[in-house]
Amino acid sequence: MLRLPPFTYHQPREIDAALRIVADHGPEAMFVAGGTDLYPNMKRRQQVPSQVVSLGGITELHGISGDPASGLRIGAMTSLTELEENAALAAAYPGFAEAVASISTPLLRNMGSIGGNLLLDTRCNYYDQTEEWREGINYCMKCEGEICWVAPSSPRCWAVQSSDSVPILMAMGAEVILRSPDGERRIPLLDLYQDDGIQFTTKKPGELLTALLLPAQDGWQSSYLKLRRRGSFDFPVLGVGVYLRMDGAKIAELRIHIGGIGSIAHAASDSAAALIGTVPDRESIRAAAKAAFKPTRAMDNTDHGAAWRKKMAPIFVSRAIEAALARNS
Amino acid sequence: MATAEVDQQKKFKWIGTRPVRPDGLDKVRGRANYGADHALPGMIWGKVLRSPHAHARIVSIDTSKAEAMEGVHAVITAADLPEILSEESKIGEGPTNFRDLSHNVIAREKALYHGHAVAAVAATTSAIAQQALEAIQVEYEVLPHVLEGDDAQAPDAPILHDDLFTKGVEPRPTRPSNVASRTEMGRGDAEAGLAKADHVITRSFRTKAVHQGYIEPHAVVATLGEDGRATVWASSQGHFMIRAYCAKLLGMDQSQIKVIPAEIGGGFGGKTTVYLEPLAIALSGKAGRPVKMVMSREEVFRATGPASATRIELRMGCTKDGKLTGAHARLEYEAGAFPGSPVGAAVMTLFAPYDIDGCLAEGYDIVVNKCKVAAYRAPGAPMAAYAVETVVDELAEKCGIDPIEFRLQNASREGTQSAFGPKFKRIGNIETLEAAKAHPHYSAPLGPNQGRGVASGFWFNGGMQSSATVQVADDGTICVVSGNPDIGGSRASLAMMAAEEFGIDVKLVDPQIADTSVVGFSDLTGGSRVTFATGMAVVDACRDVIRQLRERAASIWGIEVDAVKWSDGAARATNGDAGLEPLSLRDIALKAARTGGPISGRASLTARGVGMAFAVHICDVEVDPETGKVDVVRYTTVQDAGRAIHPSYVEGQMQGGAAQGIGWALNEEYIYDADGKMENPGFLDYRMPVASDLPMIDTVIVEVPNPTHPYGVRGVGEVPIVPPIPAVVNAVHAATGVRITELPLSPPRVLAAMDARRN
Repeated sequence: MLRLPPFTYHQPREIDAALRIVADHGPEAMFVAGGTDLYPNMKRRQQVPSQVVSLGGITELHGISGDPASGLRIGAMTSLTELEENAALAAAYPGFAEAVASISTPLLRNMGSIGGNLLLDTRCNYYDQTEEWREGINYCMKCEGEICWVAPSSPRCWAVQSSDSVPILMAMGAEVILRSPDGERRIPLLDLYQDDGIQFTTKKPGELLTALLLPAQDGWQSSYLKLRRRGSFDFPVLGVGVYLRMDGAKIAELRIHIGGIGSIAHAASDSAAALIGTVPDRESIRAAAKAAFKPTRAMDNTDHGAAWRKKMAPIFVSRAIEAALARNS
Repeated sequence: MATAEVDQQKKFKWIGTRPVRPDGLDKVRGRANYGADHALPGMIWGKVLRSPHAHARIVSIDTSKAEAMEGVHAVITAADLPEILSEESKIGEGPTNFRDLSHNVIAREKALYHGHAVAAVAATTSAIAQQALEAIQVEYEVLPHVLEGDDAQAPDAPILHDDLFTKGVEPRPTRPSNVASRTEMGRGDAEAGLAKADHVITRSFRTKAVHQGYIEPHAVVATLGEDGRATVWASSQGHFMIRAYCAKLLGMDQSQIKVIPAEIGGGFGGKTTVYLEPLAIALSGKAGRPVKMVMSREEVFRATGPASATRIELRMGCTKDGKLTGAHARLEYEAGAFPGSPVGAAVMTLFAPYDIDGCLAEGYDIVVNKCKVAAYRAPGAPMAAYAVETVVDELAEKCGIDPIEFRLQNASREGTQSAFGPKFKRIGNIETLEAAKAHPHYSAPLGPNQGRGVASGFWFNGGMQSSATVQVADDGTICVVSGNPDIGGSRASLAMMAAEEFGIDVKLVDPQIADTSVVGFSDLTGGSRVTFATGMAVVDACRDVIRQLRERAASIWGIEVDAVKWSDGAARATNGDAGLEPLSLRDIALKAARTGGPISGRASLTARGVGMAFAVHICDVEVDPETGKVDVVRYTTVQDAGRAIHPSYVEGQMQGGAAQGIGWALNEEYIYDADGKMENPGFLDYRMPVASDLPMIDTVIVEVPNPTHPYGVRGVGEVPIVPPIPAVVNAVHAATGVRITELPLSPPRVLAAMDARRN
């Protein structure tokens, strides 16, 4: 069996105490929320923090407050199951609820938190392997090695953004609160992520993601459509989040983000632009979705071949738009 | 020896009912002791160093640094185990050569696959053992490797074994080859039959290696004392197999090894051989401490035995009114690094559901630089059925005949000459097809993008050796002791047969699985044989006890034993002794001390009269025309169980086999990189179906009792994995018009086939 490396486990009760421990230990320390991402990674020695700071005991990080009319605040430690089972949330933000319900398995959703899902490590067939396996290929750029085996001549890492909640939350224009010993900052998710498999967020060392802020729900509709091999368990190989608002029969606003296919959940802006201000029908949606082919840079580093996944992007964009429209009517 | 006959029409009290399973509560509550649960005082941890190359000569192994580490108690290499001569094993499942087995357990001279064990250590903690592995220095001379059966047959292919010459070909080859053997089997004249045909279909099929996917990784605790006696706790499908294999591989006597069976967390054929056990005994001997070894999931995938990857070329023909006239198959099965794929069983079974004028199957066993395959549920048959059952579907379509009707027209039945030797005795092939045809599923309407497929399957029923003892406690309860690990409900079925024999409540029967020193030799749990064969031994042992109970009653009553009969749980005096009140099992047990001592019975036998099994599966799929994704939306399994002792277990076997077969058809595969490294050695990336991927699998048990078993039992556990692959593939054809001849049917492959057809 695979075993965890030795580490010191901290259980602070206050956010400030947690921040202090991480500040004291620097890069040796990592926060752990549900542990469903970090602990398997530690067993595979992808991350080996000597200090692990649990957020489970910090009550301030748990729970949902506010209401959809003015926006919701979701504590970072709120479990995915709790979100999935919240009927009011599902009614107001169906796309987000769909995304949460599609994450991994029921057991892992019991443990996993929304904060953890937002900061889910990027994934790759050459990275998510045991240490012995990775040693056999001389490791890779993302961890201990020099080369990106997905694209050996590439100067960057192509590990894949694999969180289901991120594409729809980016489309929704959700925000997060990041806290450090120097204070708090509130940034849109669009500014939290960047297109690199290693440095995939702009979160600074020592910063803690404390809350997710959902926008006020005034006439918006949403959907999330996930492509994966099995009905459960698997990470997305494509995940499309759609957020739209109608003006009569016309689409007034539309935002689409595609995850699971690059290091960031790219916006399908051209597809959205082609539909804004129009009365959508099956043909126009299909035509607009074709433009979603462009922003998807699929590589052969997840389940299924890159060519097929790229081909699927416009189809899933169409279907996700249709699902959101069907909700609206 | 044959057990006394039974009245097949008799009404039973317990047979066919569904009592609570004897192992259920412990498993549900987490109390069951699996292989990794055992611990001993002073126990240390063993780990295996594995080859990072698919094919390499081991130039040297320097273990000195590892041995010098604090906490390291023993390091072993092949040099610590005796050299084993080439010798075919008589026990176990499938062909096993002891020298090959020894070399698979730990590499000698050459590492033959990525993950092949080259050394092992034992240390006070698993962390130290891991560090010690890293301190072992192995110098390899990397050799060219070959991963695919096609490439392995090329004239310039790297040769795995310099002393391997193809068996079964004339003249005897003078050059070594990766083709270990050729076998053939058939009846009539296949070519003449094909020449008579109006329609001949020729197709070539490919399947990938797939793993059984048992949840419990291989695990063992072993202790070898200074007196040279070993005790082994292990999870396996046969502790007598472990004893025999370890004795042979370590140069010990079988009497020096006691193997205690753990509860088993799934096997499906994959636990019919040894990997860790001989290493754990050798490490324990060197360390002077008990040693525990548990594989990681990655080790299970990389270094145990999956099912063969295969390539099958098939020609089948029929007349225009649908009579199968001829068939010819060439089957190439990858064995992995050592000879011994189940191609022989494939050759025997593939045409069994049909009465064909002339058929011939040639099988080739091919070694490649991948882990050695092992048995997997009906070993070899599902891939062969994929070929035959999809071609039969195509022939039926060509003739314009309903696929079940076509199968009925050509079905093998009692008296049909089988391709593998004997004429079929009483079999339920036709009854099973009729039941499938009559099932409402078969005529239910289909939705858009949906299609329906059917397929038949055949599998044997193992006989082999079994033993049982039956003991009577003085409160009149019964302990039934057997030597077969329970992977499919055998404790329940053995207890129920005993309850039926004695005419007592099944709750009064305690079924136990005993270690190698307690019960007589029993061949392993495999071949769908335990309820059949060990069941016969239990019935015989019960009848031995009943004979003694009648003797005790006769002696208590002072009458002749012939005047005592046993019925409904009591001895009853016959003819004229009407005044004698019946003596129950409990009455007699209480008086045992004064009437001759404890009462127990035993039986050991080689079971004859096996009951072969047929199954028909009906599958509905929906195929997404834009993505190629296949969803199984309805599934029905119909199977002749002979007689279902505990129908819930039989249904569980039928559903489990279907689930595994659907996974094999749609998603599962070993993915290797060019260097021979498995890329998906974990349950996240090796994609077995999960609950969300399967519909409720309906079951229909057909009962055509096996006339030679006291309760009519046939083999049940394996045949349900034979039809699913072709049932799914035929359904995909019905939905899309494409016939896919390579597994798995992943969405990109299905979409590519659909696109090719559309263009």
